[in-house]
Amino acid sequence: MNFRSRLLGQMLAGVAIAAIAATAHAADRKTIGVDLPNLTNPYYVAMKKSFENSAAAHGFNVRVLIADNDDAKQLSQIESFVQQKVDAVALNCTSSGPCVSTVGELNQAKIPVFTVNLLPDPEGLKQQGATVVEAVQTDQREGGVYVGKQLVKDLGPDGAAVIGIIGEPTSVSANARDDGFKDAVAVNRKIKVVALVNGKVEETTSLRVTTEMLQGHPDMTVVFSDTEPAALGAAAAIEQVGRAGKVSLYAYVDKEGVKQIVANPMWKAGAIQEPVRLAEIEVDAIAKYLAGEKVAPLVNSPPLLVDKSNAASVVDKAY
Amino acid sequence: MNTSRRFRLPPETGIACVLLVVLLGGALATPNFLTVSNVLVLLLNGAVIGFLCLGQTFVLLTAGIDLSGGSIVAMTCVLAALLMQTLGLPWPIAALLVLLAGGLTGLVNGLIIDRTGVPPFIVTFAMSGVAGSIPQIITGAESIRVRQLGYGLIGKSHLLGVPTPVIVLAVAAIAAAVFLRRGVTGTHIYAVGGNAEASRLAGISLSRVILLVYAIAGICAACGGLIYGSRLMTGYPTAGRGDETFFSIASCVVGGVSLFGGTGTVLGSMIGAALIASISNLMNVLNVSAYWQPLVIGVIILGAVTFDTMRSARRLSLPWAQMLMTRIPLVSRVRSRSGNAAKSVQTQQTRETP
Repeated sequence: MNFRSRLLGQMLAGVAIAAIAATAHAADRKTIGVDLPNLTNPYYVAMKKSFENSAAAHGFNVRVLIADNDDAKQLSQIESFVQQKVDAVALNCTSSGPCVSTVGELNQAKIPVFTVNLLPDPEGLKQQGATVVEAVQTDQREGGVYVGKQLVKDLGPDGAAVIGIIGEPTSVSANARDDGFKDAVAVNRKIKVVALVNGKVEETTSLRVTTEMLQGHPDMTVVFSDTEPAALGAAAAIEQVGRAGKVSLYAYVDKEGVKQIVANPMWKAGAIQEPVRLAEIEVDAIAKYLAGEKVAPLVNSPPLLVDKSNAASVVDKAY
Repeated sequence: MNTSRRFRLPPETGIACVLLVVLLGGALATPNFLTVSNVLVLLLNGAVIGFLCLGQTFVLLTAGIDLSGGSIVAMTCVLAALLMQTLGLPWPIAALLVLLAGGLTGLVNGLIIDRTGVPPFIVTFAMSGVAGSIPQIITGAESIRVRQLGYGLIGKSHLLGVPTPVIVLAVAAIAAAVFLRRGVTGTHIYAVGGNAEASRLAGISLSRVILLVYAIAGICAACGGLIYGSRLMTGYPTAGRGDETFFSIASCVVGGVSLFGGTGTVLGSMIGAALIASISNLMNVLNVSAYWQPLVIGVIILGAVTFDTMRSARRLSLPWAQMLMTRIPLVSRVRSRSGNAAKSVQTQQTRETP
């Protein structure tokens, strides 16, 4: 009996020491929480991997949660980060407006917030007095402008084009790309944007809506896709309605899209986003901030223009 | 007046009229809508929903529901790509295995529903999560490009100018209609949906029927996965996880298949699917704003089903039908099978017993 209780005591002591050691170990490794909108878009898949790799390189623990495009779910996930007392949060808003409250929640818990890609509404932040340490984003509008300028250049001064856009009208950043594109092509009056359909950032939806848009506009000569997955669906659609020689494609592109620009005459030019780089910049900023250094409040990372001339050399930079 | 001689419209007439109105309206709105090439595009784009709708019809007839269709599309779409790209299997074998996998997934749905008595809504909703996550787990949510060109034959080839998926769907729908209308098992499916307890007492094996309908729904979803996969030459982990499951249920209900089982036909649900495909095609051909599209689809579905429900409940008087009846001595033989299902159980049973 005595032996048993001594054994039990020793075991308890062992467990306690192990627990203390584990806590001590965890305490010297900072933890960052990352919340992303979805994993259906390969963009976020690349970003998630980059967050994990960059965090590991800086010696951080990382916890990634996926909000499934649901603002309420994102808020509740952020609350779980607060409960876990993470040291910093990298947040890619599901949508700009509701994200302000999410940032406010973290401010209250005194956890530093770093936003990436889709940022919270700046007006709302001001109104609620919520603050973000650093925001990192791709200059969305600029990407559209790049691609639009390239189209104007490809067509020449007297060129004409009838354009359809495969967009995502409920996304602020996709709309910003469209606006940049439209402004850039507005210099030539013979270039007309006649249609906008919702590709929902998915290959399958884009395949369907692009075929339908092309049916509705037999005179269409150019398709602009403002997201990468929709570009792949649009390309399949152009081929399947038999308009491969007549319609050219300009788009935001991922690695597959860049390969297509190299190999396929239908694909003319595009803009590459760099989710991997955004996540790296963000984790670097978190490391600096936690070490007591100052960081810039806003980093605007321009997208990279890719056309036939440089596609082969930039394929590694695409995600 | 003898009631048996009263003029009765086939149950699908109402919804067929709505489809006709949409088609004619579309043709008036733009000359690019009712062209041969656009109708083929419309049918091709609607083929996946058509297949899901076909499977859903079987399930709904037994008073079940299948919420896992869209996720099985995603799972099979990725599975096909994995079998070809990772294991290097030739595409026909990969396609067959994928159909088998779809059928098995449906069978699991059926087994759980049958053995545990958990409502189909919950079982298939859970399966939707499971089947939808598997491709994301395996591929890390990345899509897989398929390099075997032959795979494209499934979704991109044409037979006599008609896209292959449309022909395959038509053949499957006719086979299903004959199976449900003429086959003994078909009658059992209606009977189980009409009154499960009465069917059991009449000696029908409920388990066999339940397993069969969910397996059929799984195979239909796998067909959808193959069509998406081969049209895009990709295993795409979110294929079919958009509106497809919801539209497949809506198509059936719009086409007169009851959510409470026992009533409806394959023809009706195919007309329903064609209606939904036409509306969404028309809106993109007409360049209707993306903000308005779900609203328009919602209003048309609600309008169509309300019209049809009131027509069949005879709350809407159709004076022109009355007039036709008096002028032309036409008696429709096509009737809703709901009323007859329970009765026909008895006859089928006696026919089966040697």
